[in-house]
Amino acid sequence: MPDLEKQIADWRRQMLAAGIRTPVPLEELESHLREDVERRMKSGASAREAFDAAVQRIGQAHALEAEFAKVGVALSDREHKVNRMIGAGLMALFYLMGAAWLFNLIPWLGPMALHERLVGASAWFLFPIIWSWSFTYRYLPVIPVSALGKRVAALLLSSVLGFVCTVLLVQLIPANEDGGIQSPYLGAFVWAFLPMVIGVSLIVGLERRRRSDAGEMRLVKRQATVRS
Amino acid sequence: MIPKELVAASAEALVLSILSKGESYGYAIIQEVRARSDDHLQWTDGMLYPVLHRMEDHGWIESRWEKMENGRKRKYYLLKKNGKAALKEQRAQWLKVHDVLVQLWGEKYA
Repeated sequence: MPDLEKQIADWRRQMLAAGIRTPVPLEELESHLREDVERRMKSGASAREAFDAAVQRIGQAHALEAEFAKVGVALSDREHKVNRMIGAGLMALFYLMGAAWLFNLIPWLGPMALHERLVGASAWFLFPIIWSWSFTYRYLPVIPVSALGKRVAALLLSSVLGFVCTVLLVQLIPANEDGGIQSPYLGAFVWAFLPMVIGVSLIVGLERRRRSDAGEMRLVKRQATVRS
Repeated sequence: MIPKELVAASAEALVLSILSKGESYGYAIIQEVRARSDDHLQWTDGMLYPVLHRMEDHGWIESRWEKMENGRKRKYYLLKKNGKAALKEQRAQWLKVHDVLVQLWGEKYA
């Protein structure tokens, strides 16, 4: 069916022109289109009729592109894989550097006191912790704006968790003879920065999760609008 | 015909429910919805795919390409553990809506 192949090639060009440039959605849509055409032809329609009806049913290129853009299908599978590999590599690097710092495995740094190693390692570990929220937020519960009690509880819980993490870390730090922390910088870091990062990360993650959920609802509404 | 807004709002629940019975692909999902609703539930076919991609992005479903006997490829979708949890949640919500309506209509027509 050379005509049908030409029609499908033209349809692909229209889709590409509309902005559906990534291979996965286009391949998937074409697979769907071919299946629909085949089914209609089996029911007795001519190739031309089957193609026209299938194209009409699958939707206009610009409307489809608008929907794909909303769900963030902007990268190909290969690009996603490359991004994931780079992300995983960077994560591993940060954790390895943290571990190396903690166990004093970096020769050119020379011997370090435990509290120095802890501070250095914490700094390395903090980057991936913060970064991970861009991925892990989707596993957090959705707390709507109307659930004020739950939102306050989540806020308090996030802060307490940050504080508990800090206390646990402080237990590992050797104290001076007078019982104080050896370095004032370490104290500032541990008591102000670390709980703030952990608490704020959780709060930001919860909010992002809620917005993500709200985005789904907007998607459904827009979808209906685009089709009407 | 069911209004487009209602069709769109139920899209995720429908897809999750169909995939809970086993893996499937876009065209088959649409056909099943159409058949089960006696053609009352209809959406523009292409609009299903952004929904599927979004559900995949949420970690509810996963996909794989499979080559068919005729040489063409099909993208199959499969429900994941998170998807089962999402289905459970959506099922409870839809049943609640259903219960309220049934109660109200029961009172009205009793």
